[in-house]
Amino acid sequence: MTDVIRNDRWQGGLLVALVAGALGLVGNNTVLFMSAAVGLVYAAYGYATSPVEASFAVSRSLSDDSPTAGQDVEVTVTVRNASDALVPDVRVVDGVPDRIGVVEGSPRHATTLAAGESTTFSYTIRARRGRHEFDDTQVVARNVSGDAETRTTATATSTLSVNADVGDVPLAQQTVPQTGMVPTDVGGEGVEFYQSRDYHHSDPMNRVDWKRYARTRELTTVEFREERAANVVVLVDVRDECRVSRREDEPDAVTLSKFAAARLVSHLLEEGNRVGLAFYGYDSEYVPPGVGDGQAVRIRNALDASTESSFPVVTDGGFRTYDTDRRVDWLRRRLPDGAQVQFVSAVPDDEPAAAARRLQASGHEVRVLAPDVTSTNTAGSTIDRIQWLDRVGELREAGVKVVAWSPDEPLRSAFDRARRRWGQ
Amino acid sequence: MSDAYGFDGSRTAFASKTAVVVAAVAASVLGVSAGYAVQTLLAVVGGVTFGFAARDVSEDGLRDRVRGSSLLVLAAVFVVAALALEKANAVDAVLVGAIVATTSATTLAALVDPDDAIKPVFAALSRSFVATVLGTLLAAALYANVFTALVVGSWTLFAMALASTAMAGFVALQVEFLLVGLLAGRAARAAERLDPSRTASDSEVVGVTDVPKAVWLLLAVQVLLLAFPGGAWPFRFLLSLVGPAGSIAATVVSSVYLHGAVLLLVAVLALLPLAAFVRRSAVAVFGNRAPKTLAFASGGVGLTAIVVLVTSVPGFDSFVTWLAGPESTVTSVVDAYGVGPAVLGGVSGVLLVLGVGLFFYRAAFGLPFVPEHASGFAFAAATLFVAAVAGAFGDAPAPAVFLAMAATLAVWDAGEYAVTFGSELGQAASTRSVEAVHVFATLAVGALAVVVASLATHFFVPAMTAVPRNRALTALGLFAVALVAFAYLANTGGEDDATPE
Repeated sequence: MTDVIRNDRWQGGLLVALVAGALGLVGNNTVLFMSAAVGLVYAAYGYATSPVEASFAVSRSLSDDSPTAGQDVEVTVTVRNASDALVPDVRVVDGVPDRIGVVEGSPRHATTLAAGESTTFSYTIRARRGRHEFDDTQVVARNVSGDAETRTTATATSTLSVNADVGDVPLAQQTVPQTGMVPTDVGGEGVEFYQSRDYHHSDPMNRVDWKRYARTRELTTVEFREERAANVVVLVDVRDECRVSRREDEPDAVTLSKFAAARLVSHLLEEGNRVGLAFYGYDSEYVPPGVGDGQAVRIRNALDASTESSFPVVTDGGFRTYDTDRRVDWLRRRLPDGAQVQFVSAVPDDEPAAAARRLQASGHEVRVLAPDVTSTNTAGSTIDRIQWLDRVGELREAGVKVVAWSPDEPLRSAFDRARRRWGQ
Repeated sequence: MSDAYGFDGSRTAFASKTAVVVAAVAASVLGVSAGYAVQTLLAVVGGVTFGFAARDVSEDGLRDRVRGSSLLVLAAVFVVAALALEKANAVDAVLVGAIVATTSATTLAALVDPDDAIKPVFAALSRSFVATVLGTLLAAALYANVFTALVVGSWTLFAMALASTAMAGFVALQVEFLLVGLLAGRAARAAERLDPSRTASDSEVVGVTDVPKAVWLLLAVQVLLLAFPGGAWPFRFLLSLVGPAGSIAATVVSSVYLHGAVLLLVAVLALLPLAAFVRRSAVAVFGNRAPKTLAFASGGVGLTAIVVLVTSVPGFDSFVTWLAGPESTVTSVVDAYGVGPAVLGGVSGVLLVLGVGLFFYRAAFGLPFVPEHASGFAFAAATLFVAAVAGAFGDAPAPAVFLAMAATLAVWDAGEYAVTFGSELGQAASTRSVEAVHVFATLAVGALAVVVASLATHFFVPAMTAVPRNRALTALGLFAVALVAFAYLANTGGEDDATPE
């Protein structure tokens, strides 16, 4: 779409001519009267220059359209003057997606383009999770006197998809007697060899180790590591204490926790687990474990309906305390027997550690996914970071496995690192 | 268009700097060709300095504000010098003032958004103005030897009183020792309170009410006796009773050296409570805004200190009048008021005028029919037009007036272009080449306009014949109507007719 807009830029020349001529006549000053000619020349300049009739072709390319989160991507934009006229003043504003930040260069460019000539400029953006569509590119062409401009909206479709797959989530071995993907220490049906034992007359024939029988004349039965499903409740810490972020322009810990919880739920349901959701905060919410697409929708709705955090607070101080026991008791009454808990919390104080220990003592395996929203930007935030590291260390010493996740890295990397460390 | 085409940037560098250069060159050519070389130079330098001062006082740093305030006062000094050297002609004063206004407004608009600068500039102007006004009073008092006269006169009167009768010395000595007693405790407490790291404990001091009433009564009786003729008789009688010792006592109590020493002690003891009082008053007035206020006032305070120090050098006033010459306005002003009061008073006046100018500037662009867009450059263009008109009515040659007239439009165009470009693309994008195309085209048209107007003046003016005034005005009216009609017809169908293709 193209708009042509004219302005009264050089009408000022007429004004100057009128006032100077009038003052010259009234004041009987020949020089001042003749100076009206200067204003008239400028006015004539405005009338003499015509609007540019330009059309532009815009193309955009990304150095990587499927980067990982936090990766820098170079965007290259090429604008070609598709008209037959010289355009002395071309201004280009590329449509960077709202949630994407430019880290180097500028998505805005100015140049002069002859007929058929093209210009290329590039800038660097930092990828964030999700799918991001680039907006249309705006091109403004002005004539040399600047009193007419042509505004063109050029469509150049580009999409940036940032992979947010969480990979393999290392769950605890607390399972339910259903076939799933969690390897257990129980021999039975499966694919991974577990042990050999003495033959029992009820064992199926295809489980007998016939090679060993041929060698030793003893009947033994092969057992495989049984893979079962888990009953998992994803617990999201949404307390006000978690409404902290490293910088004002970054999402806070509650938003990050809900994002991670959504990914976790989606992945765990796909692997055949029974998955539920609970909020750990002032507005308690509980979705009992279940399976299937309906459960995924219920959990997604619960996550979307919870309070949005609009004003993250940059961490530069301490946190207030709250009654831990009440929340844990509330949760224990609802958790099914044998359910394990994936606790997503930024661990902003000692309360998540106390809650995790009490849940473990109640017979629920707990693993903590801790978004790291601390920084060392200021003295206060450095102190916060030191305290956070201490709290995470105490959690680990208490036997709770913790996955520390920096928003700068994909969730998959955090889980991969944890799995390697835990030997799972 | 979407909102993506709005950008919160500032003006672009090349076009705004070009506007400053064009304004400064045109104003300089106009002023120099009109015969005011030194004044124009001072006015241009003062105007540019004002622009940089406005930028600095708009910053958040204390050091920037101090530098800005100092530059602000320096700019005022340049303007005072420029105005002091002109020939006391109204047209010339308008020309110099318009040159100052043009260069300062253009530089300010090129460096910072005028709307953001007005408040801090006004704050710095007002604080420095208060400082220079107080400095003017101090300099005037020093020039008139008020302090010396006060000290010497008081001491002479005191010495005469001591010489009149021994009782006067005796009463004065009692008052002096009473003062020492009252001030000693206060001085000790003030010295303790001046330390900010002290503990919050209080200490007892001897107050006026702690002195026994009998002492006050005795002193009042003695003063009454002194006030009446012959009232000193009982004291003389008492001294005569002790013979030669009485004469020695009378000599001692009447000694100016003894009284001088005791009064010096009183002054020293009074100094500490005075310092504590000044500090307490300053804290009460400024509160925790003291650094900002002092930073804004630092220019005026600094100038006052420099002027008072320099003018205290003996013979400095004579040196200035020798430099200016006997016929100069400067000489007559210096002879009447002295260099210090004249400089500080002049600077105070210029600061006041600048403040009033800022007020009118803000008021003008607050009017509903005046567009706010690129207001700084519009103001600069208007003042350059005023300078051109003043130059035309002065002795400036025609080409210089035409140049200033062309610069009026060029300054506005380049400035408006810089503001619009900056708001659309910001400073991160490279814009220099595109700016250069537009700005050089505008300057080329300006040069052509100057040539056309000069040639027209050269060839047509000699051929002109005098016409009656009423016929000329009628012709002007018809010309104006024709011009407006032409503009209307030229614009018909061309304005804001956004036609989507």
